[in-house]
Amino acid sequence: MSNDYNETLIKVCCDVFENLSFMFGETIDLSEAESDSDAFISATMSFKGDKTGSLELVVPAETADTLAYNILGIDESEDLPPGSAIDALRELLNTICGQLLTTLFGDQPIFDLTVPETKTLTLDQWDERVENDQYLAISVEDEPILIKTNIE
Amino acid sequence: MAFNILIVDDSKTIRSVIKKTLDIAGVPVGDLYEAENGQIALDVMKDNWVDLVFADINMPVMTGIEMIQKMSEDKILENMPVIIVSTEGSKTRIEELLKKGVRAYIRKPISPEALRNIVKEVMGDYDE
Repeated sequence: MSNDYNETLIKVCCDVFENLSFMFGETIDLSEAESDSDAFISATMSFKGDKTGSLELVVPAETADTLAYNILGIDESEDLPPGSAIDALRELLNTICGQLLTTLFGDQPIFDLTVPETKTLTLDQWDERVENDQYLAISVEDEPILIKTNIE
Repeated sequence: MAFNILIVDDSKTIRSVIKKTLDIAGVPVGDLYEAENGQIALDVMKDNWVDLVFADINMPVMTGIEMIQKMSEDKILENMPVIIVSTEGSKTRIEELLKKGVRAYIRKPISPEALRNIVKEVMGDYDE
């Protein structure tokens, strides 16, 4: 993955987290992306147009809940509506993807985006990603989040 | 004056975010309807008086574009204002949407200020 893309991806990601979930993120070294969680959610989507590629966002399950609470503006003492953590993660990824493509390639090209898909990952699968230098790590309110893009 | 508003998005989270943002923006809302795709939205519009529609583009069953096409073929719905709320960033595609009858476009993530301005642009000034 190009370093140009990396820098833009981190910036777009942090901007979207700030604007959509009111949570602040900063880049961290991949090796610092340690988590106590035992379940993680991976959201992926792809795009097609002048360039083709995909985007993956991986967060600890508890962080997905926090993101949903913040996006929905619900107090954490209340129950989250069913499915809202997954829904929130999909929307974050969708927004990151749209913003990333415009930032990288301008506002003229047309891209077709797929609907984000999610799956649950184990700690081992998280650790595999932490050891894969194609991923980037962001700390959002002290919780690690992984993101990867592949653009051809 | 309060507007009867229909929010069309397959994401319940985004529908909630738009509702919350309308509230923060001080847009006067009368009846608020929700639909998870264009087909359900058309049914809501046929059964209820709606002043303004916020719609996503990519939705299962019937997309926002297909919904707008159907609206343009209906004498009652053809002039109903639709504001697209999407991550779409291509000016080319936004121009296509405007040609199809979309009144305005607002890009996610939406701010209360941007939402207030776009509602005023489409519906005219109103008492907050």
